Amino acid sequence: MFKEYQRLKAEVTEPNLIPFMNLMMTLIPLLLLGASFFHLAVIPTSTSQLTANDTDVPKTPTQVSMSLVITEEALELTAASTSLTPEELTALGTRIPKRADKSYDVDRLEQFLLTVKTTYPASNTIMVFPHDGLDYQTLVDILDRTRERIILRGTEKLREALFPVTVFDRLVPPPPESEPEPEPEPEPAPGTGGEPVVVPDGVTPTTPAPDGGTP
Amino acid sequence: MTIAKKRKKSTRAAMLTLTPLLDLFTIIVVFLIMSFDDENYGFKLNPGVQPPLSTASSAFRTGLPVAITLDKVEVDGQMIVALDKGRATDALYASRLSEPLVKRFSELYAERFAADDVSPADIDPEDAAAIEDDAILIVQAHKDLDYRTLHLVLNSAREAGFFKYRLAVIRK
Repeated sequence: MFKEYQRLKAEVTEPNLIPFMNLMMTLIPLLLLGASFFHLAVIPTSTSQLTANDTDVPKTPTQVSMSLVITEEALELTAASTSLTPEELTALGTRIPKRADKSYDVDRLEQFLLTVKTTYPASNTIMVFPHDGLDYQTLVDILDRTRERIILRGTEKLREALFPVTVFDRLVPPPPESEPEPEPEPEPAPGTGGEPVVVPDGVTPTTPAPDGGTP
Repeated sequence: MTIAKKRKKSTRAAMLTLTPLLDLFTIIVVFLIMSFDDENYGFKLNPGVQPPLSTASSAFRTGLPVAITLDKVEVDGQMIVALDKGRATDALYASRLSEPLVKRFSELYAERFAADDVSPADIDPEDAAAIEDDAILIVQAHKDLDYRTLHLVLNSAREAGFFKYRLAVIRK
């Protein structure tokens, strides 16, 4: 009995792991070459392509075009549409001041845009006019909230598009106060005078008219 | 007797225990397989750029690479404009155009994309939506830059015919 045990014990040998180790040593450098330790993504944006006679106001009744002006103090939203009355458009505008901690209130911004999107589901374009000193990370944080809404369901993240088409532009600085103000025209024609972004009649712009990115 | 026992012990062949090493290698391989990414299309992040964090999920696509670091603007790997801590000169900010940038963008546009241009008169309105503009910039900009500098580059590109941009970000 004891001899049999000794014989079996002598026969048990460890498996030869060397080929497996060789495979690992080949796989690891190969995978290291293709590994990415951070994941990149992109935010698709554009600048205005409109000419003097064009307008950015959407033609379909269920669509509005939003404009977001980012000032140093607040986020200012206005809307443009061909089919809405000035009163309706005014109701689609708002001013969201900064929080007490001096950060932009992006939660309220997202909530407001969600309301607009729910009312006009075909809307997808937002024109963004950041102030010159706005840092890039803050701009991206704001764009994250204007482009889509993330809904957490358990561990799953659902994305709901808000205004995914982002168009960048900038505002022309207001003219010096010493210069005389031109007489306002009774009915300014949208899209004239080299202004690619059009604020429709009845909507009071809270900032000077944008210039479409041209100096 | 004691010496004999010691001699007997020393005659046993030394065995290398490979199992813990194998465990370690298996963990490393699994981790690397999980982080394997074939979506980046050969995109190389400029070492001077620290892109902003974002929740964006749009997949990466090819385009003309533009890098804006805190000390320079590079177009297709070539330095075009020098910056000082992320700032250009006041003259550039006033005009919102950089001549060297416009020149370089125009050269690249003429070289790579002008051949595909279609006259607006030749476009069937029904097909207009299906036409894709391939002249796209992949903009990798440092997160601490201000919008003024970003707009200077985008506006210069716009002047040369590039209207679409993909802002490179790191997924949160």
